[in-house]
Amino acid sequence: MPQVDLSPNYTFTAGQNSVPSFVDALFAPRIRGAAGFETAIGTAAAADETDVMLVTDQALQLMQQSLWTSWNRTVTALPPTPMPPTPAGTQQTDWVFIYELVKYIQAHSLAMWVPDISFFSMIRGVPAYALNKYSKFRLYHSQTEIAGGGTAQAGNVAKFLRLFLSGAHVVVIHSADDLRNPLPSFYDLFGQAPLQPHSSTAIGHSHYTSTVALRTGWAYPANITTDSAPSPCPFICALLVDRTASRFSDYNTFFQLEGWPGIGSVWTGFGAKGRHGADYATHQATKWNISTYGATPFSEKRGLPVFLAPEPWHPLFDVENIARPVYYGADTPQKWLMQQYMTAGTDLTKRMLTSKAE
Amino acid sequence: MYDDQKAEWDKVWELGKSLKLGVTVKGVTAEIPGMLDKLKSAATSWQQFVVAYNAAKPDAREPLQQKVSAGAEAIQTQLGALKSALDKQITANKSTPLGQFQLPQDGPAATANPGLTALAGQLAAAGTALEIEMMGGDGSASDAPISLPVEEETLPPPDWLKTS
Repeated sequence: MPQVDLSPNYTFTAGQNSVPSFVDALFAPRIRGAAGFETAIGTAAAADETDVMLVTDQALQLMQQSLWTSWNRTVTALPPTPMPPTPAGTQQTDWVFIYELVKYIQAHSLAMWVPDISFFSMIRGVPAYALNKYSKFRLYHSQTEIAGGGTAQAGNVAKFLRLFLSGAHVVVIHSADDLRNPLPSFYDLFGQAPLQPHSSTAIGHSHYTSTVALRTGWAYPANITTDSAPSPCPFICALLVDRTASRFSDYNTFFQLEGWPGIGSVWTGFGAKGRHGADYATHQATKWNISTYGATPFSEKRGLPVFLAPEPWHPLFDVENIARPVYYGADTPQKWLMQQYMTAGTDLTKRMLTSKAE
Repeated sequence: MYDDQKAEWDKVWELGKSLKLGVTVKGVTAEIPGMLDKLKSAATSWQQFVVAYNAAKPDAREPLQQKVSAGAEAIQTQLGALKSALDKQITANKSTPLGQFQLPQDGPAATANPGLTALAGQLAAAGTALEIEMMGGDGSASDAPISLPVEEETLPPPDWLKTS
């Protein structure tokens, strides 16, 4: 499958070797054409690969490096130090999001939980998986590690960044339903400085539709309003953030990098056409999440979210249905869950049977 | 924004527009249009509180949250009274004997009850949507969850970090 490259001497403003031309090239038919993209996803799934990247390894590394620079800058300059200026080689909106995310991860000692899955068959053209276990990766740095430069968890952070850039659905666990000591809302940060000036309302998305009737999510950054890359252009072009449930005082937060923001109005249908609409069609055909830069099976609609949570927490699943993780917002059976595309791996099946027998 | 909720309520108002009530029932028939007006007022206020809540900064949300909860309770009270009145009206229409020259299709059970029944059904749908909204779930029972096996891993720094 053809991939788009980014040269190491790239610029963020329009021109040759620029991020705008790199991003726009990702939406060319030869790169993102539905049939080729869907075939690539099917091939990757059958090979037990958990993403399809539309960008070269070099381009992916350059994006990870840029975001890692912001991550490391935050870790080594945490409050009460004032927020540092946007680091060189980074766009302001990328920096602000990573700064707030890392501040939250550090303040609450968050780790990342990633599903370990195996492909088992295609069901009417849709890859189906067995869930084996979850793998946990610590994302926060200890004080000792920060004193040593704040790079000790760089391998884990790089994994998070790849998952994020490929479109994984990330649930930040902070609800009182899931934690003995609930955390402050991550969603609410988008209504405050420094994220709020760069955030706008996302209307009518397709996530947690059984529990979030209002669906008043955040679209970030706010300045992408057409189906072409702005100049200068950040790497994070289409972040969607919302609550997993609409109980007003308590919920978890999810975020995921989408392909492109839904462009339009209430009259034309938000995101039904254009770049966002085309990606949604690929998502519907494969049930993989589609981001600006690639695709991944780690979707909540398959029961495969990636979790960020404080360490005492661990993933819980419905004993009757392994495709249903139990966290607030998905703790009752949901009509959007596509359980037909998931099953339990051998060890997990034994554990479920044992648990039911007890 | 609150698409599901708004759609359910809009159907209620639409059904209420051309409502035929049927026979006169003391203390019921004359009250139903007024009850619908009160319900519409309560639902409209509630939707405005929800919009204000979502637009408010987190530290300003506490009083609005109380208004949202109180508004939902007001709607549920109005819903209960209206559903009870509709039940009485439908029953009265059914049990009214036809006049000597009146055909069954001209009787109050035929002319009024389909509209009243549709309204009662739509009120139930709007009420359920409201409860789901406030509870943040679909009300189904959940089985006891099990924990999954978890393996902790620490990945080595990526090559690009060593060279950057």
